[in-house]
Amino acid sequence: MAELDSETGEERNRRWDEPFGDAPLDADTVARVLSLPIFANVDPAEFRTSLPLDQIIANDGRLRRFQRNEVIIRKGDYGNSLFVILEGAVVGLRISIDAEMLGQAPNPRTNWWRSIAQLFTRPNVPEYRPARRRRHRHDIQPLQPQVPSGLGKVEIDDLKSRYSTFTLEANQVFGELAALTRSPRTATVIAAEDTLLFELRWQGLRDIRTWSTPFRQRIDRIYRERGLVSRLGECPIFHHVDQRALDEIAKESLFETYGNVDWMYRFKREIEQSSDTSRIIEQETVICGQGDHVDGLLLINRGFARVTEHVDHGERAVEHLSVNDVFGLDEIADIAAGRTGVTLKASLRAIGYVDVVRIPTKLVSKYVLPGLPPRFLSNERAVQINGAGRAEMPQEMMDFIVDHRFINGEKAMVINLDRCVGCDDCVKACATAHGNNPRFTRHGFSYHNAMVVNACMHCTDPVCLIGCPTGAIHRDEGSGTVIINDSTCIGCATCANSCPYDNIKMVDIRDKTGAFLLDGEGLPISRATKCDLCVDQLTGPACVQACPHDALIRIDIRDSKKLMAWLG
Amino acid sequence: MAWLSGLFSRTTVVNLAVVGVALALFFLENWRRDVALHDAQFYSGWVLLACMAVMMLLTWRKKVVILPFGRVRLWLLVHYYAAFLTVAVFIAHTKYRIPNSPLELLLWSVFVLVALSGLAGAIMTTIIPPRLEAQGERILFERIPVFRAQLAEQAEAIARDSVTDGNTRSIAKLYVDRLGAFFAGPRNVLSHVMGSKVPLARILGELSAIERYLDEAGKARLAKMRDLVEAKSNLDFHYANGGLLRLWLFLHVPPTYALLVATALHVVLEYAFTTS
Repeated sequence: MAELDSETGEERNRRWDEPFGDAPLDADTVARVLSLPIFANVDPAEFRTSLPLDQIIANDGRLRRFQRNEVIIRKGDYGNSLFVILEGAVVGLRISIDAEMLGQAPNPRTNWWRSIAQLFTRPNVPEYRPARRRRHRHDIQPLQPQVPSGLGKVEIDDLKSRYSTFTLEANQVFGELAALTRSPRTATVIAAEDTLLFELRWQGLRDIRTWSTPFRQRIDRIYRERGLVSRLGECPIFHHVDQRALDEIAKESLFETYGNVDWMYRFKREIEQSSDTSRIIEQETVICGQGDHVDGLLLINRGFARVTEHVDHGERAVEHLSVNDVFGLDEIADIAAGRTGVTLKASLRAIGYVDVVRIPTKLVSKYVLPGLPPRFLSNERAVQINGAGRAEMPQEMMDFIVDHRFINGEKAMVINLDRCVGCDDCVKACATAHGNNPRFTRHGFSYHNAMVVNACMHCTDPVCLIGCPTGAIHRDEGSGTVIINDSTCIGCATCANSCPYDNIKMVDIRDKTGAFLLDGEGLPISRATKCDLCVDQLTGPACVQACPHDALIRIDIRDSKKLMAWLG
Repeated sequence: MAWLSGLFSRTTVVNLAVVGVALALFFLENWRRDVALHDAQFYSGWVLLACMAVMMLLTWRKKVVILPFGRVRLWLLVHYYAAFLTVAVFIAHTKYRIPNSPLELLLWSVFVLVALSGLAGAIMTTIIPPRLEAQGERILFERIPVFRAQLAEQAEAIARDSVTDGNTRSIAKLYVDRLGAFFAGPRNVLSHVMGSKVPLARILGELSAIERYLDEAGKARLAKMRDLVEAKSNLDFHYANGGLLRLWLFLHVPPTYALLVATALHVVLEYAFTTS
């Protein structure tokens, strides 16, 4: 019995069961990393005893060596880590490099044989997990990693001649922007010579940033300096502005944050208490009010905002804004045209938590308005929307989507109730793809014939990632799909509690006899589960494949044009 | 042809044309064999079996949903068009008449049942979902008994309170005489399928009839009871229509397997006792 207990007790995952590298870094390497300027004044005494600094570096960090011309990160990939250059130099450029340029074939995650085998080897027991072959002791990783690990090779001199580039050298940092904001990489970085990098995965970055004030201040400063220029470069209304002007705008602009980073807890409480969401708007922090003085152009840097207009005694949502959308451009254009008494045509409210960049009016008039394509200006609209997929949406539909925060969903499961016959073929297909365990319930909030189902929406800002102690829930680097690594999930339920939409379920895992697996204290072992968009299947989402009536779609909710056309 | 494109999409017209061509080829070959004094029955029989096999591919596709053989939606379309073909070939195979031997009659009957239930299913899957959606929030069919039990419990509590707290007996009497049975299980299924509101109007009328005997507190209870009755009627609507979406499958899938068994028997007997 004792033997059984120790065996099942091993099934509960712990934070550093799987270090970032093949093995934890050795003490010398950890010391070398901690001597880097980015970690200057980071005091190990400030860290919890259960989370020592040297262990974070050893387990959440790894060394990677790249040869000249090797691509380290690509613009557009979802990054979960920060890099520090130990030796050598890298070149960055703000273009994306696709697999074809790298001479790579897409890397399939599955194959026919595996899929066929999966059909015939489905376990009868729900949430069955095979016993793990845990490594009880990791070999310590030596200072020099064994193999180059780039994404592929390009000709750096050729790229340098064609594109504007920047160079980073030893001790400098890159990749912090994507790691901190759970967003895609904003630049492609290539090794300019043989380069040794220290890579820190985001949960390590988060913990060091949490416990060390000097590190936090340093990282945040870099984030602000680089993030702002990157953001301005990506926003369509700045595409015609030259680099010198962009630098000046970046220097003069202000970063501002509104709302509450823990918005999801309050939101969940409100939604659970009542299905009437009309009062949700009252909780949203007003960034600027209708009729206010025009105090700069507001660029959404992260999160979402709602644009509203006064109607009688209430507020009517006219639009929702996300990254790269701007607010107040028309008003500034009016001021520049010499009109007097110009005030804001609408209010802007933070949906949950939002980062905005406030760009001074005089700089917008000086650099942005001259040469700005007319399509960006409309006297009818209070806002400038980025992206082609927007279409007029009925007011109630707009309220439904914004009030329920569905605008966050990039791959939301929407069912057209005019076509759904309730056959549950989608649920059965999901079960087939996940070892007889469906990863969603065919249920959710609905508006007319649109039901947004309780399935992971693979959010633009996946707040479920924030608190995960082990980084088990993460974004797939290439696709951005939010997935859970079952072998590193410790079952703490932080992600499930954080998910504003209740789309992550905790399950108690079982052995092949159907008995619940218990830890050393006799408690059932849980794991977080959710839709993974069938990322390891040949077909893509099985639910979509299975629907015989074309009643189910995975869709970016902000693509209102496609959504409205599909709903009919 | 303009009227045709007005009725159907271009894809549908093309698909129907393909089915038409396939049918024409079948009848041409069938006629050729007939006039050449070959046994056309075996030819049409095997074509019929092939058509049925194509239709069975839908079931197979659903079982291997994680293999990339195209969306089930497309296979359902193949199923539909193959069904047109199958019915036509079946009619030719049976020589446009009802068979007279018991086994063939059985086979014929099962085929007709499968075909009619399939047709009914195709129609219902188009008509019923919008009806359910128009009724309000979509209710999971499996959860209906739970919701029904909750409503029944609340209704009984109101009836009980009207006696113990309100010192009135009108609501309790109506509950015992009429509402108790109404809340106990699915009611007026046929009316809901037909879209009739008469049963609901009748019960609401009975509730209104006792309003004059009640004080303010009693009227408030009656209003709550009215809401419960409407909720229960809504639940019955979902039960009746959602049930239809399941019922047709019972009349389609099991008879399909019976048809396959009977067909196999038919083939064996035909080859065993054929005279030509």
